[in-house]
Amino acid sequence: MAKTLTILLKSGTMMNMDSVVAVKLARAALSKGYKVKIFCYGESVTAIKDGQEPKRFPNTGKYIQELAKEGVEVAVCETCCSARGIRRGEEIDCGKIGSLTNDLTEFIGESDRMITLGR
Amino acid sequence: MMKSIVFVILKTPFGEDPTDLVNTLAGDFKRSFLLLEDGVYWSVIEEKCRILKGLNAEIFAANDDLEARGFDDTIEGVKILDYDEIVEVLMEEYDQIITL
Repeated sequence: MAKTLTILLKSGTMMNMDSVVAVKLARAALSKGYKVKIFCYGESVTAIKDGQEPKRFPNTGKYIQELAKEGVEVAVCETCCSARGIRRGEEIDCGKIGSLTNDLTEFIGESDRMITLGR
Repeated sequence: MMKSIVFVILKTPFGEDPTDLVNTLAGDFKRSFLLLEDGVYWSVIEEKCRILKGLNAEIFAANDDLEARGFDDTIEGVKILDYDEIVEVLMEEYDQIITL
């Protein structure tokens, strides 16, 4: 059975390159046959907001949507979304507004390794 | 079997010295540093790289992140990895991952 990597992302998509590293790690892990899960917490929940069009930054939301379509499980913290005015229905396809206690706990329980990307 | 930990460094070497934290967390475990983003500066500044080497650790630096900052090489002893190789290190060569 394929091993699973969970990526816990904490930085916003335009704060630094953490979200880009998350995407690169996820792509590489997928290509090597691992299962990948991404959980976004804090500022990073902006990654799943649909319709982003950054002009001078990588469009991480788009990349994460592509990864989700390739089988990466993506969930974000609902409380963090509410705090930032991101409502259900505004998330990218395949992304889930979930919870720290349910989804992240489940991700960790099902993972062989977890890496945290945040400051 | 001896446990092993990869310490991920994302930040420049101009903040806190990780020595005490790494020794406390890793104890007798095999340890390594994975330098990503601005963390790669640890691999190109002699005095900073010496701190990591002094912790008896393997040192890995992301090639993409070095190139993005204009570096094509590191201090001797640092292994430059692409993201496929980084995933291999994380998933197969070490038991735990801790981001400093």
